[in-house]
Amino acid sequence: MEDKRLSHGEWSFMDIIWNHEPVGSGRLVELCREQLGWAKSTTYTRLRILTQKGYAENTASTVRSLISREEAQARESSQVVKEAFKGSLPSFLTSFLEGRAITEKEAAELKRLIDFYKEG
Amino acid sequence: MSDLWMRVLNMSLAGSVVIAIVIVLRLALVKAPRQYSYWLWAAPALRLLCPVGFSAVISLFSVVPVSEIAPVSDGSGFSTVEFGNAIRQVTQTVLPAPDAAASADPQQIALFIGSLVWVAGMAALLIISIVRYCLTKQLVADAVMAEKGVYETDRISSPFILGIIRPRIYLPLDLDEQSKRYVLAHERVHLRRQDHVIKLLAYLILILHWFNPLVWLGFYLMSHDMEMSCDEAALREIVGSGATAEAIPGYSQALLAVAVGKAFPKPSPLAFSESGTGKRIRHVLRWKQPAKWLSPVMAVVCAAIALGCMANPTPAAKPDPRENFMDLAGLSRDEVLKQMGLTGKDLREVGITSAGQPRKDWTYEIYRTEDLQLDLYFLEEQIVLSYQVKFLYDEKGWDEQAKADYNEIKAVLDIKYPNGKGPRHYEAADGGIISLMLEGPFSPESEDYNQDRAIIYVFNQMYVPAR
Repeated sequence: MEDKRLSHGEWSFMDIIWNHEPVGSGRLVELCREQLGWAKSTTYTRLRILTQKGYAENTASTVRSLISREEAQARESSQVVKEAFKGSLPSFLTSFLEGRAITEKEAAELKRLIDFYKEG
Repeated sequence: MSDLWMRVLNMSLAGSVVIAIVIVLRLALVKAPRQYSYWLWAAPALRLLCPVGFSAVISLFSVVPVSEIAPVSDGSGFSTVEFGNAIRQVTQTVLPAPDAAASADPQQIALFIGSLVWVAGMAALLIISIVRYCLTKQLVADAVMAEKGVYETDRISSPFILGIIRPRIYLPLDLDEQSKRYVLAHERVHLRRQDHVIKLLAYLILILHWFNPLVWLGFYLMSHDMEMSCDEAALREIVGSGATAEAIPGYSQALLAVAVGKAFPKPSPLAFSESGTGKRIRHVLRWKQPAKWLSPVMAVVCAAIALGCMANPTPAAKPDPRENFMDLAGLSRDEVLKQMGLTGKDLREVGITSAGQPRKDWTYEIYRTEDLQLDLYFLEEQIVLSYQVKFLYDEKGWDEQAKADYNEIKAVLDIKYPNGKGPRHYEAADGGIISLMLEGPFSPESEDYNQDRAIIYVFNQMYVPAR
């Protein structure tokens, strides 16, 4: 898989696949036309590209994802942190949270994550 | 090809004059709503596309000294403005005059090379545009539809319209709601006014005239006027739907949101992109609702200017050659000879032609001098009937040079004769007048061909250059 981030179009496409997989390619074309406004050729082209990137597969006209949504999101955010925040998670979070107050629930979950991932 | 290139050169020069005029007029319109300036660009566009205009009494070309341009009328109501003189002057100073001994004319060669360079330039520009179009198309291939005709993608940072037959609006993804609304209003005005088609046409004109820097300038300025007039129209709509107070600052915000920081927009025709953010913001900030009555008035004014630019000045009336010529009718033969400064011994009589006698009661004599070569025809009463300057036959047969000159003449005087059969009077290459009426076979192939046969002239009047 490449180290590049997915485009908005590719995310939307993967979203449809995750929501409907395993999905026949014909049905996928329909869904993309409805939700994305894509022509049939566009859908097949994007499918080919994503298959090459290793995100999906198309066997016997059935399309499946090769990577779960959570994993894709994890890759994406780590790429964002690497590219825009020079790998610094705190600066990423600061920017993300800027001006926003976190709820009690979010605070608790964050604390749990911090404890889980803390070294040692 | 050289011919076509000459045509395009002429169109380009004419168009440049119009562009210059429009630029001056635009300066006067700086504070006015920008759409009037935008409409003005129709004039140079027409001029750069149409090889012909029409002759009119009032023409904006009158500002250009008429000696520089030669209005040529072919009598059909259409005329062209030819800068042939200007072009010839330029090439004559740059190139040596055509050498009679050499087989090639340097002017012709230069013209031909010029036409090749022109075609090469057009081809290059066309290829570049097609490549850019394909790249842009590929860039937005995975854009997601937001609403009908509107697609969003994170691969672009400023909105544009792509496509001619089924144009789509492409928006960058990270626009806030208000900006998105304003941007869409703007783009929709573009679509409604068919601006994407207009810009493509303008770009094709640009390709045709790529060698002309004024045309590039015109394209650049036209694009600005197009954008700003579109801003005006969009604002009118936004205000019309009630959002008056926040319209101007909101719209400026939207412009900033999609600004790419490009000072000089690439004239890319099919990916229809935006121009000159700074100027547009300033224009928007100064915008006010225009007076309702102004629009139709200005529309008429702009149309008049556009028409004026298409009109060529009427060709200066050619001076009536009769003014310079002396009427010899009614003079006796001796008097005519005296007028022409000839004495009897200058003339060599070659005999009376047998080439058909138009009227039995007429006789005529043909005289030829060594250099003047004139024919004189007399009635029985020895009254001079006619006089010609050039003679197409001599002892050696057709005078090829005279014949060649003869082919370049244009009809000058259109005198109607009874029975409709009269001579035509032509201005020969040397400025003299040839009056010509042909009778009887006189081509070398015909049976009656006789080298001494003259061309018969029958006139009611005749003219001789006044001494």
